[in-house]
Amino acid sequence: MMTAIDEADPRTPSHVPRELVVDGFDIFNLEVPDADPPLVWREIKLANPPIFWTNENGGHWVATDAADIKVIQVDHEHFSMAQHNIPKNRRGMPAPPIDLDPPKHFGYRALISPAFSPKALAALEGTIQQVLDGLIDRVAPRGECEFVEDVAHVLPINVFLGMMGLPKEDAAYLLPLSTLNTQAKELEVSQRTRAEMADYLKDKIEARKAHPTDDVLSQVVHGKVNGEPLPDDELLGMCTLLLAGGLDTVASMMGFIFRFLATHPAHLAELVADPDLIPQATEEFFRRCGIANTGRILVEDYEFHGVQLKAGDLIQIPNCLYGIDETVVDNPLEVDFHRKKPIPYASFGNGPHSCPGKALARLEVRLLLRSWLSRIPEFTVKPGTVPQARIGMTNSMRELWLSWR
Amino acid sequence: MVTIIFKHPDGEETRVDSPVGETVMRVAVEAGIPGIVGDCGGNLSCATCHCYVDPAWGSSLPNMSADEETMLESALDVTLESRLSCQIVVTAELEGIRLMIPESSL
Repeated sequence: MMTAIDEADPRTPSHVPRELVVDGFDIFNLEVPDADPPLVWREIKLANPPIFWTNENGGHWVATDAADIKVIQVDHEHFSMAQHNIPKNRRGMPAPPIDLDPPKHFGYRALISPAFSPKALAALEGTIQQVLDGLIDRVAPRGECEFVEDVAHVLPINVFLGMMGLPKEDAAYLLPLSTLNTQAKELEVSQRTRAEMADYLKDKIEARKAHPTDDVLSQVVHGKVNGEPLPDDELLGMCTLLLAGGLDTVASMMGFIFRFLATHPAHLAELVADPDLIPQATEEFFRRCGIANTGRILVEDYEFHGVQLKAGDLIQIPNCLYGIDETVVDNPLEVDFHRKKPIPYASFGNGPHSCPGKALARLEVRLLLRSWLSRIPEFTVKPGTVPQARIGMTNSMRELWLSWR
Repeated sequence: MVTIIFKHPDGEETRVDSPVGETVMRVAVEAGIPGIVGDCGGNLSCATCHCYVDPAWGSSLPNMSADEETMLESALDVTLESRLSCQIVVTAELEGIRLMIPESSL
């Protein structure tokens, strides 16, 4: 609800000037009219101060300028990853390495880096292609599909469960949890969701402690940081993070890409005619469709660009705003498969905390585009349907009906 | 400025001028050299900046750290000439260094 301008919100902390407060700004209740969250974020950026405060969801700052997003991502001395979700303590459990700052971060990160390395991905490519072929075989004859549920969610979770050595059938149980994990507004719900994911993993972790298997879960369970095995709570938190991190995010990225192609026939035709453009197009889509809306917590009182931030304040940095900022690229909202390389984006974060699954996401998206476009080269949004997206801790594609002849 | 020569898998070469103190990975990424990606931003976490150092230059480079050696194990087609280019800092002594880019789908 809007508050009259002269009626100060009693929740506003004393160090936050009235003119930087945006009344009623609630990241979990934003309208997303065209299923295009970066456009929503851009409107927010244009309508408000570059760093503004909201009292909703426990109160937090939002920084929308590319230059600020870039600095906040890597200046761990002031902006810590110890809390980076809204509301604070959203997970209710540790989640190394994402909630650790350098230098402590590195040892934990090194446990999972090999799982997403060029060598690991080269070994996975055949599996990904196999899952994809099966998926497209299934939907192609139908002439229509709900892309998010039928394709975008199925591919990453199958690949991921395979990497982790977990049963494929568990996807049906895990996917709704994955959505709640990023989209639930209430702390009680997000923490319960996380606990359910952890509960799901507990006996699998114990099984691998007793009998190591050839999968990523075993590698982490038997991994050491500074020569020591992980304490149980860190191990469980880390495995839960792995499980949570790779599901809803890639699926949403695929959803946004296919929403774009379904509504931009010239771009679709260009990619179909020249599949060699797919790697470059993938980078351009990554720029245009950032997903994560995480933040940082202030380590100490700090005056940043004239704004007094206080120790313990959360500051959110919607990473999609980096790639669609005029100071970063020309015609930022336009999708152009011929942009000069490197195409700048923060969609997977930059710096030590950049997403470890980035190369896997890139591979999955490229293979999906290549396979789908060769089999279903013309498709549109199914007449009479409207694509649905929402915003929370991630920009999330919820529903996208496609049809073709 | 120091000239770095990137030799592509097809034998073509690209010469890039770099300031001293920059890493070879960042020079390559900024120049749009295909095959050098640098996903993790130079934090020894991704092995997507793998290159081969021309043996004539190998002795001009500082030795690999243990962390680089570990991460390099996750690159493809590793040889004795392999390095992660995020760990090579450009110095005046590297003028004209030639680095081969691996064949890759990155």
